[in-house]
Amino acid sequence: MNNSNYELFEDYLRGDLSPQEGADLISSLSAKEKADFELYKSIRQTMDKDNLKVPEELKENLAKMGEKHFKSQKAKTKKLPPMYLRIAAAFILLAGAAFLYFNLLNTSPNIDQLVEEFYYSKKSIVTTRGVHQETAFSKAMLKYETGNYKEANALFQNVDETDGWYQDALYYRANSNLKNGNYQLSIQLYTELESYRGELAQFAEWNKMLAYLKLENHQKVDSIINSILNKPDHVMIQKAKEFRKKY
Amino acid sequence: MNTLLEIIELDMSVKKHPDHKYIVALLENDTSLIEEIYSNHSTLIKSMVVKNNGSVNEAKDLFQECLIKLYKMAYDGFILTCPLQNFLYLMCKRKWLNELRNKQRKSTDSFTDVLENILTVDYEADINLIFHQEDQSRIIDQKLNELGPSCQKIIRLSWTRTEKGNYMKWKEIASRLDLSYAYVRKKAAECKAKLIRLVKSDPKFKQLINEQ
Repeated sequence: MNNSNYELFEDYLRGDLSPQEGADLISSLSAKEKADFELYKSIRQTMDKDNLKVPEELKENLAKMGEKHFKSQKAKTKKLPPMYLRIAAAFILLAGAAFLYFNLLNTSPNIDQLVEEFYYSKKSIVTTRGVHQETAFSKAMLKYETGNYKEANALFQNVDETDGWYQDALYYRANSNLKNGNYQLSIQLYTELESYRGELAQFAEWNKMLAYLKLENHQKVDSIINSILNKPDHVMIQKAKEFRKKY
Repeated sequence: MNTLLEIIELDMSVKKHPDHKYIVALLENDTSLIEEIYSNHSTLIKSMVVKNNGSVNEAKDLFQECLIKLYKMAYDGFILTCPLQNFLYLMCKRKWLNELRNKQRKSTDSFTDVLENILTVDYEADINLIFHQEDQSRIIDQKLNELGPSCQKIIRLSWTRTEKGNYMKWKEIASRLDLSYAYVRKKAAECKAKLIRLVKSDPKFKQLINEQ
């Protein structure tokens, strides 16, 4: 189908066409084009409803009431048993907790542990080859490699889009934001990097999954892991298999 | 293809339930009636979540999300034709089942209902339709994310409404993206054609359309 039809569909749905122009457009469409128009209209309506902004005042009101009505029940006060029984009970509880931690709970790592274990930062050629030119990228890398992610993030932004290191800067900037807890921004940067393809894009895809894990968006985590597992040549496929066993 | 809300609007015999006042309350942010919603129904939802592998905190978030969904429906002209309790319960239950499925926390076959006989009521079909829209929107969002960053920006901006409720003008979109008007229009059409191709090829989306 001609792409320019979508320009007209959009004008029609935005109400930019006159009723006559709208009627002419619809009557000029073939059956297949009509089906595409209906689909586009339905997609647009769905997204329109989804994009509706909820007033902040209402959100605040609901949050306040939620706090009030969804309190966890407090334990009722009971008369305590004698001191020696309390000490014995505390000892048993502690021993039980220690047993659980070392034998059961410890086998299933939490989100922070998983992210820590599976985080991957590709080594930069700048540092492995010992290139010490004072470029915007190398200055940022120095901060990055010493764990100063906040300053690294700011410096990576100075790397120009025309710079040969731009994609690397994007990657390490996303990593810096992941490390700093700015998960949404890191996801945006990884997504931008993914559009360049290549190995770096695959590293970005992996860490993006970890950012989603931090946000507890398990659906996205699953979808990325499945996508990696379906690509035998993916650079992180082994990690994905290990991750799948623990997740 | 009519959405549930359009079908309801078309049906002139639809009668508002007295509880519809709570739907209006959400639109008007009427604190005292919203307080009543919480007082009357929060315990039920809390109990449903806690009995089905959830925490009180998760119940709180779920309840709020359902009310926000109701607000969006109300904005779209939704008319409540049954007691709010039943509608809210089914809505939250469906949403919680989705969460459980996503988190793979529990087999959804063993769901414990806390409101008896609710499954037999005929408006469960309506709830399913509402969630169809949510599933569709998730797939569209996934497909949008598969497009390049510039395509995503152009499409999202072209679907964005301003505070006055109008769509953002093409000139404004072009200036925001530092591109020419003609290029933005051409690119938007290309990107949308690509999006439609991706959506059409998704088997889950096809299934959702067929189920409607």
